[in-house]
Amino acid sequence: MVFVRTDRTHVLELGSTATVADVKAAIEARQGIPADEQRVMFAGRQLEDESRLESCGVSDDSQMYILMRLLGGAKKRKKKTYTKPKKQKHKHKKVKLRVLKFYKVDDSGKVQRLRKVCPQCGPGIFMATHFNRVYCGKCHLTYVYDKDGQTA
Amino acid sequence: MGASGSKPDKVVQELPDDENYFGLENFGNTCYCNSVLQTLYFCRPFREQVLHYGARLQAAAANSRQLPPENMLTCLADLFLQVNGQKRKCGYVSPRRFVSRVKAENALFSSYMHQDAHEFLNWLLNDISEALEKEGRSAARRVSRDCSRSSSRASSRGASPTKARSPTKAATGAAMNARSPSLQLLSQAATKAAAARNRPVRTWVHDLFQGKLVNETRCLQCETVTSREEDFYDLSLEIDQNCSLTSCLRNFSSTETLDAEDKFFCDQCGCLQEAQKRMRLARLPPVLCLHLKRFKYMESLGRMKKLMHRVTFPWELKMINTTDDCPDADSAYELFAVVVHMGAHPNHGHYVALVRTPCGQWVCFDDEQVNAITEAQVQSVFGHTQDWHPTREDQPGLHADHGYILMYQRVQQAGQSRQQQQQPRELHT
Repeated sequence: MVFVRTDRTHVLELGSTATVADVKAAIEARQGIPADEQRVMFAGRQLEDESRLESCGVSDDSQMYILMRLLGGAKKRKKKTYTKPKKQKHKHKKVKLRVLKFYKVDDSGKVQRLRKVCPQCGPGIFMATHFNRVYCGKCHLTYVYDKDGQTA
Repeated sequence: MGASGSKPDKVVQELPDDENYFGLENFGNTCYCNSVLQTLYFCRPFREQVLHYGARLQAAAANSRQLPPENMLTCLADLFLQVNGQKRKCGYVSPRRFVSRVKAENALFSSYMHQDAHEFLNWLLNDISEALEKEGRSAARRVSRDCSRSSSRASSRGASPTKARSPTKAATGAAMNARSPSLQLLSQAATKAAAARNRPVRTWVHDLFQGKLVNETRCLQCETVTSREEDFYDLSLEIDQNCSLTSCLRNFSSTETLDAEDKFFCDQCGCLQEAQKRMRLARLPPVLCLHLKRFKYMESLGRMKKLMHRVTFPWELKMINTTDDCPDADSAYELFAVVVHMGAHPNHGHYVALVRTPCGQWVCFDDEQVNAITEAQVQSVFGHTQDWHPTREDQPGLHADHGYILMYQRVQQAGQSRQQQQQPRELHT
């Protein structure tokens, strides 16, 4: 008769030729813990499946413990910490009939074009006016005011 | 891994002690091994013994004497010497030889799978003590061979054993007997020496970590108490939600009734009887290793579950579940290291080691990284009072880091004879 402690104590009656695997099987039958998840400890030592209880020094009234495992080993990826705050995404503002703002009709009925025409795309294509530059939405041509620097 | 991983922590670098704080490289899922190594390194009496052993090995190598074959202990000594001999205070080293030795020695750890830190610690301690026992035994054999040879050669000369390496008194006693020319005594000596060979040798690993439990079973019919002593290296404790370590210990030693299908066979009554059983500590080791059973098999789910329960552990611990005649029962224990399992599931995760330095600063060893942490951060590994939901994983403040193995060391009181234990024992190797 041996004592086997999981979260409570079981009393097992095993034959003299019983192996550690038999202990695990008995516990699996009683509490459902799968045998391969179990670790059998006795006198500060973990016992191997194949070994006979006798040869491990287990005798009558010996106390064994069943433990399970908490596996670990992976390197945990650390979350990156950003120092700069996130860039705010541009939100498009819908203005109804925006085209009307591109032209001005004076009193004589003559049409005046208020936007610069893109020199690359030719007449009919206006460049958008921003606070410091004009920009062609079709070919991405940009003119920055003052310096008149140009990037494609 | 990378450059950022090896950046030394400023607080650690400026700690006012002469310790070396070195991270250990992870070779692919070997952090269970790294965190255990760190706790052992910062277990001072253990480290001193290993360094002492390593120094002897080096001396032997310098004298080109025959070295023992490479085993876990020699690799461990190598690694500890490497860390101890560093000129810088911080950095990281690669335990390459050690890990490859682990993989060669143990089939379970040879894969690149995740492993259990407690399983590794237990295996390592047993392996080291076995290696020491083997050395002790072969030394004893050498001594007994020496003296039997010398006694047969010239008994009148009163040859004494050349080396007092024998770890057991019996072997020296055998040598004394062997001096007598009487044949009868000689044969007696031989049997004694053989007995000494087979008797388990007590090594410094046992001295440091091994304690004794007493298992008492009382038959409820005839009141006969059967008691049995057992050695242990660590105590595996059941845990409950929102409990303290002390209550876990109390629970460990609580009286349990054996009934229904678990009846006890009482020798006195000669039949199965209901009985009460409890376990108490009969001897406390200088280094007490407590293992929290943070796992449970959920029969309804048919799988294992990690228990995230909040279990508080104190900086200073007094054992309550000792027997009445246990020596040093009221001695205090001081927490010096915690092995922490991170992760929500029992089948994968990460291990780190939290270590208390001699000056009281806590340091976290996360593979190569070494960082100073606060006591509040240590307390954050107690666990959770509520069930943890994986869906809220990204919520700040909620993590799955839990203390798994707690290492306590007996507080040395000034002016006590116990100091003898601390000194490396030359004879016991």
